[in-house]
Amino acid sequence: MIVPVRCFSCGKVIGDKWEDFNKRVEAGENPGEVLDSLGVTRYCCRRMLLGHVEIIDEVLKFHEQRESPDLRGGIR
Amino acid sequence: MNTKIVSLNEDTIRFLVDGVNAAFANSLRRTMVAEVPIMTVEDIFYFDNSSIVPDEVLAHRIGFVPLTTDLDNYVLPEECDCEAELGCPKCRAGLTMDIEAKDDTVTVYSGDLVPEDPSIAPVSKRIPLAKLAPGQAIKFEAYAQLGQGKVHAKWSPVSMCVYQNVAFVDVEDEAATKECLDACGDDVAVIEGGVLKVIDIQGFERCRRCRELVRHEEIIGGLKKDEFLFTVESTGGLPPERIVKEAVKMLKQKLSTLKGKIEADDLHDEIRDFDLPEINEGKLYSVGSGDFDEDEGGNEEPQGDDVA
Repeated sequence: MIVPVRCFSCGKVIGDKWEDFNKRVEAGENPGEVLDSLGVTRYCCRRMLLGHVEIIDEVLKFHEQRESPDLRGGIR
Repeated sequence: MNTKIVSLNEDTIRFLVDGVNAAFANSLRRTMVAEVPIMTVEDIFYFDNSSIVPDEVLAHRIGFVPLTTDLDNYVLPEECDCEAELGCPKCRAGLTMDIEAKDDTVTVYSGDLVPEDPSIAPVSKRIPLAKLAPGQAIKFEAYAQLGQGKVHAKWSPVSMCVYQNVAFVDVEDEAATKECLDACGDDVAVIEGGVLKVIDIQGFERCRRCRELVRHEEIIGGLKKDEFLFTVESTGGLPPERIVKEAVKMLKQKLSTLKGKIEADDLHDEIRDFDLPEINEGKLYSVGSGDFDEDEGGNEEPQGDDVA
């Protein structure tokens, strides 16, 4: 749902790298190179960020909508 | 026994130890992983949580946020003399959070935790903990304690702690090897008296030229049984060199306790008097200074006759 704080396998903190990673990959950078520059070297930690989908953003839309009734549409 | 630091930066230390056997190297490793204490949040009292992240999930996430640790001024709760349910200023540090989303969606970060003691604060301020839609709020009081990795992984000070043998290899073409090594750096391999000392095997084999000069089987055949390269990567709670120092200190203390018992011939009594540890039913693991009531909810009082 939301980024895990730590890598499931080794326990390295990866939560703080997600937003940077996501922004740079969406801007078109190579994910592997972004991970290298963030210092995420082991493949256990790399898959944490590579495979993550931030579903909380989708769930949050229902709660955002509740507060503002004029917001149209639901999930894209 | 000799030690030599190969490299050291803010979260990782690599060092060589020689003159010890694998059993010692492993006990040092295990002490670092499971015994060296650091601070993390253990108890949380919620006043408000209307976010879509449930209380227990949020608490679990906050527990995994590494906190900078002041080992000199805090003691483990089980070693503290206060015996209070939630500890005293010597064995716990408080953190609070009070955040509300007004008009926009807000991401709650670890940096929003307000520490009572500035020396016990989140290492990274950018860990997302929850997201709040407009009108939602989170308010709680959290208590951090020292703890050990053997109780819960959140208390382990290292995210990687490994050791490997160093290898000695005879080289035929010394000039070519030297030239190659200059490019690779001396924290990977060095030439000592005509013999190539491979410190970091993976690092050495990452270089294609080195790999062609020295075959993998030669490195494996030349492993030195009593010299190790340790790599210790800290989660940020303690500096990596401090973790190693604390581990050595703890190991020394444990060994001297054992030695004292052997000399006093105290061992058999200890085994005879062995009691099973009491299982604390309140928590999934036994830790902390005491028990607590779990009366919340679940109080199913028998209904009166008039209900039927």
